[in-house]
Amino acid sequence: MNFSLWLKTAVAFLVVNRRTTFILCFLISFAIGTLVFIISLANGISDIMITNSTGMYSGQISGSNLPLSLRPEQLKKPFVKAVLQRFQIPSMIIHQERERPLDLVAIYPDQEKAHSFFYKKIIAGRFLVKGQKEILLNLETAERIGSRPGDTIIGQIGEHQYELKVVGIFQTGVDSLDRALAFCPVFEGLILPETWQAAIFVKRGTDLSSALSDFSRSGLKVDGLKPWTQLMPDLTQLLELNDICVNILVFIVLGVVSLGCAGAFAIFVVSRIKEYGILRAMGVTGLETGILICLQVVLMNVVASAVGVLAGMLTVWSFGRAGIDLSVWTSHNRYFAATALIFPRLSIGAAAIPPAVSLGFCFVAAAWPVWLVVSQKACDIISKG
Amino acid sequence: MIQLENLSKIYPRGKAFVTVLSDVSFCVKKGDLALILGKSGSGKTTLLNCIGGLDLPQKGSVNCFGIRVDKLSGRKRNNFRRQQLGFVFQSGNLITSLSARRNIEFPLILNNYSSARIRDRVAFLLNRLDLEDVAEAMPSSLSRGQAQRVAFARGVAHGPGLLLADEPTASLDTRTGLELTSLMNALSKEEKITMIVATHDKEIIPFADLILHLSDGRIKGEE
Repeated sequence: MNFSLWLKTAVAFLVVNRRTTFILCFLISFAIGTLVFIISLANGISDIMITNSTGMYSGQISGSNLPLSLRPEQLKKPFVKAVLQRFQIPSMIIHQERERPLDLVAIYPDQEKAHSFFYKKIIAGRFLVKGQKEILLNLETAERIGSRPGDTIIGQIGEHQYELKVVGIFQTGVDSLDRALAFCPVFEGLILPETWQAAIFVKRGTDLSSALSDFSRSGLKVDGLKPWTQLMPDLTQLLELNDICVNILVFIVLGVVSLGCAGAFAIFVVSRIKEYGILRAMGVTGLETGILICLQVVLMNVVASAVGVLAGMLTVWSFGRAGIDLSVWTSHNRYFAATALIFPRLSIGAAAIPPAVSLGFCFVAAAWPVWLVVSQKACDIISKG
Repeated sequence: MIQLENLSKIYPRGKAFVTVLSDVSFCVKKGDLALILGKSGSGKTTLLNCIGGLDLPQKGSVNCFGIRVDKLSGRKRNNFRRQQLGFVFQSGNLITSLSARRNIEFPLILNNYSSARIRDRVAFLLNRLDLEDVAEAMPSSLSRGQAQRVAFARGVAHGPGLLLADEPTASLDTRTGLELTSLMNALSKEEKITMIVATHDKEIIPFADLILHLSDGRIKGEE
């Protein structure tokens, strides 16, 4: 079989019918470009949901009950951006004879401010200052004990009592933080527990399972380290659901576009069916005719895919610079608690899935015209054409 | 030699059957020009289709250069048409996406001719049929006479043993039709290509070696 003959002929068929070719290419490239952008937008939404959920407090990897013999510096691997050390201390908060049990978390405020979003969720007062005897209360606790910024309260830890100045009240929208936690800086004289909690923030693109394996390989006692995917199954499921929805969308959009293209392409073939009949009369086999038609569809698809992916990438790039602010629709959503500025992210999947699916559908689109030409006798095609 | 014996072709039409060809028998010598004369609907095109293996008869045999065309499998019939047969249809019927040159090249490439042979053969045909000036023209810009000459060049490019022409002069004026027939006849004789031409154009008669009168699917006379 002379493949180059069929390729040249297919190109000639497309060039001569450039108007139809352009319209079909435009349809396909528009669909592909849109899908590249939509997948990138979905990537951006997933990113921001993860960033909001992990960046708020827990980090991408959380450690609990870590021994004091393990220092934060030991966890600073090349892929780690920051390790925040926290001490969770069961305590009782007392103000004007009102008591409330909660976990007081002693933190290093400077580091927290540098790496987590938590400080942005203060609704009254200010954030903590390093080394001071201060406390940041959650709104619910503040209301229960009737405390406001500027008040002084008693924090009782075991037999020890500390006078702590209320400097701020926070509300994150995350139940686990808003119900039973209060924060204070690690200050002189504070009796710390024998274990600590770690919030490990890793660099962008780090694979969490490899990161955890790396920690294990280094011989550290890091049994308490867990990735956010284990700690936030709800978020994991939401992201999976997001992926499934996007994939379904890709199939539906390209399926519909392909149906349209199949119809248009069938008309394109039928309008020149006599020429296919003449080719058959000249001894061109049904297989070769099928290849000729498929080549036309594939060529159109390749060109349209290239244009579509490029257009999609340009759109992602242009929106990716300033971001897309969805805060109007996400103000009550905890997955967007810190920021709702979406930055569409182009991934290999975003650039490859739409053209790949489109290529698959293009063969489906070619099936009908191929059948139209191959199922009839050459003499019937010529006489009817 | 092309030999047809008792060829019959029946088409179903609704619940009835229409006999398009009935016991057609004749013989054309190699290199001769056979003319099938008949009115529209007399069965000329069906007869050509059966000879060329585009359609199969219900009865009888078609023997082309010792090959029983009617007995060939689909693939072998394709090969037979590709190598041994040339077609010239009414109104040229060129591939509109290809230039005149590319149309003529097509059967040569299809038969895996070398580039050099293709170049020489196409140059010869363009020159012989006075098509050099329109070699790169697209079919839409050719006159009817030029288009028919390109179609003829395409039909004989790969040196087939048999050329089947269905009303080749129907869309042409008398003078252009005669010029085309004269050229077709001369080149066929030079290259010893057997030609079977179905037509109702009686101007072609002087060129014919054999004239068959077809009426209602039957050979009514042979000259």
